[in-house]
Amino acid sequence: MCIETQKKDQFLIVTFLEKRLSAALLRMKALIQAGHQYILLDLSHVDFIDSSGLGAIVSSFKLLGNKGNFVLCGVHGAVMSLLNLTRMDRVFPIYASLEEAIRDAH
Amino acid sequence: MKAIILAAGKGTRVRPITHDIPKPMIPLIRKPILASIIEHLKRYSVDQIIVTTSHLAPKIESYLRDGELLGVQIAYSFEGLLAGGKIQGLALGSAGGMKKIQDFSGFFDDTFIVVCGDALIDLDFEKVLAFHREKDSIATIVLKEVTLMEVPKYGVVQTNEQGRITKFQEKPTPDKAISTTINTGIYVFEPTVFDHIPPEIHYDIGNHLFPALAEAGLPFYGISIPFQWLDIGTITDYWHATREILLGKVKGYNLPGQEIKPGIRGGLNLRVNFAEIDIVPPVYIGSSTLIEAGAKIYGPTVIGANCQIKGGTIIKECLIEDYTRVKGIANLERLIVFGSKCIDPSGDALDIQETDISWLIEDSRREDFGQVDLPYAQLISELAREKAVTS
Repeated sequence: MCIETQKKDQFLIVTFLEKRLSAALLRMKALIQAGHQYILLDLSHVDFIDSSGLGAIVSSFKLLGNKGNFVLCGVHGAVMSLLNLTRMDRVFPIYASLEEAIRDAH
Repeated sequence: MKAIILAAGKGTRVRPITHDIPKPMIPLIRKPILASIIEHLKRYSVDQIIVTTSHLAPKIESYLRDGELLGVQIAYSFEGLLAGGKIQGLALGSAGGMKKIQDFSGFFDDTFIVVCGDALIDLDFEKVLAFHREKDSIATIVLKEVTLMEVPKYGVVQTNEQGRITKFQEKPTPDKAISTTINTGIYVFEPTVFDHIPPEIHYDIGNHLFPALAEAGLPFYGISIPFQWLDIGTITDYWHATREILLGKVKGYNLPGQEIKPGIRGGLNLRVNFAEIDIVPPVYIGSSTLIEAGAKIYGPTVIGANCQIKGGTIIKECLIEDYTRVKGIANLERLIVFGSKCIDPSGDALDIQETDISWLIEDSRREDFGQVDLPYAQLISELAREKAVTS
């Protein structure tokens, strides 16, 4: 089990529990298809992400379309570097912590 | 005059750069620190230099050869063993390494200069030599003041009014430091100093020789004179020094190439249409590099030789090594691109292969397939471009 989900206010908090995030591990399609519209992806456990892993996040985001909101939190180190390098830091709202994201993201 | 440059260190604090090049060969805007040191020594009539080598020795030796191109005579004292096709360092210590040379040939027959191969200096050796002779010193250290927090990186000294060193403490913790006056790794020695270095054992200048000279009450002096000292001890130091040079804050450092526009310099054989790119100085562009229309480059930035910077990419405050292709939606900010890694100024590195980002950064000698058809690369690129249009 590499994902833990939890409902908080309108958000579905998706916490990825592994250190390395790759496309094969991140399965969010079912969650989005089940109708969750406000998704908060918590990456605080993730130290490493490759292009395919980032692609999986992007594809979840695309799947959600304009219907809801998709935000990231707990982004650090190499994960942040990859978001900067691919300009995805300008696409996703990024919050330092879960608490901040719940408070400020709408 | 004779000199010795200590260049046998492993440079562990400058990893991952020192996996590929030894610290003295790290280029500061194209020129290895070692070359700048030799040019400076030459100004003080130094014409015979021994360079101690070990880690990645061939990189130093094949660059300097016999010193002909720099107009000095150079010899190497190799501290290691070739075993199983690999060079293994032999820990002689800095003093032990010098002793080995002396025992081998008696090379040091008069006052000589000792410098570390990892700091850029503009020190007036004339003044240091005059002080050394006036004091009839056997070993003179060039000193500098640092903050208390910095002392753990250095050797710390206590001197009396005459400049005589009464105590020497190697890398103390701030609470134990006897002063904030530190050893810069620049010395003037007399050959008699070898009487105090035991043969064939590991013996260090900072850890062993200096504390022993101070303890024995020998004519051992320190001199503090203002000079520029850019010590490249860490990735952060390397980053900082390069920026300082580009910003013109390092006195007397001659930048290579020619000025193309104010604050923009470049080498030969460039292909850049400055009317079609965004470029903010200071920037140095290495020879034979292509920068396509629509690229955005913000200084302080150094782009290496034989690079290809594709249209639409953004490079901001970066040091990019030779033969790098930057393409697609790549947005490089505050990164050192070196040895197929993107290293941030604190030393954290992103491996280009492991992270699978060669659709953004790759070796420019590889065939250029243009837009890569990796599905996730396309997905990410499309989203980045959509966002650029809407915002």
